[in-house]
Amino acid sequence: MSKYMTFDSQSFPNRELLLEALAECGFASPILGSNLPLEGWDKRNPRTADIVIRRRDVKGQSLLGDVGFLKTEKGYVAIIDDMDLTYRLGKDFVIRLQNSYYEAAARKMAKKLGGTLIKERIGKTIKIRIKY
Amino acid sequence: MPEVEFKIDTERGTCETEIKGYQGAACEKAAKQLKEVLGDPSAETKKQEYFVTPISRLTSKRK
Repeated sequence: MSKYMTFDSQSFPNRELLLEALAECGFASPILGSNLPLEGWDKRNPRTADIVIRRRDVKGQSLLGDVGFLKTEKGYVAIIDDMDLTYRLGKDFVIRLQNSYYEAAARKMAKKLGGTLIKERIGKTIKIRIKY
Repeated sequence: MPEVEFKIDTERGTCETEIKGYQGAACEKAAKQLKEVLGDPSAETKKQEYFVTPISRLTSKRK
């Protein structure tokens, strides 16, 4: 080739890979559905999502609200309380999740292409090569 | 040997992919599969090899 592509959006197009990334980040049992109400959010501004991690299921974090992922045209988008993001999960939570998602995507591509995967870390960059 | 490379910037949460080892538009199948799992890219650049037309050679034996 032939081609370079850069991906930098904060949405997750593939549900299966998002669930794999969430499990890697320690959220192994999300609830799947459609327009599920999020608990712990301001009742004047109720929110719904299609993938929900109940705050009571997140041990040791005392989250103020459920963490949700809403399905949009571009993929699933995270709905997280600002305070939870700043003081509990960490401001870089979505970035960490995004990185796990990319790694899960590379594993899926390797499987699809029937190739072998070589992973190396160079400073803050993870380089994954799939040979097929 | 074709190769797909992912470069994940763990600080920024971005991913750059490169498909290598093809001539012409043969890489499009792998590119399509990448878009299926990663969504639409914010940038897409075709390398020089993309514009190369693969030549198929015909050989014949002389009597």
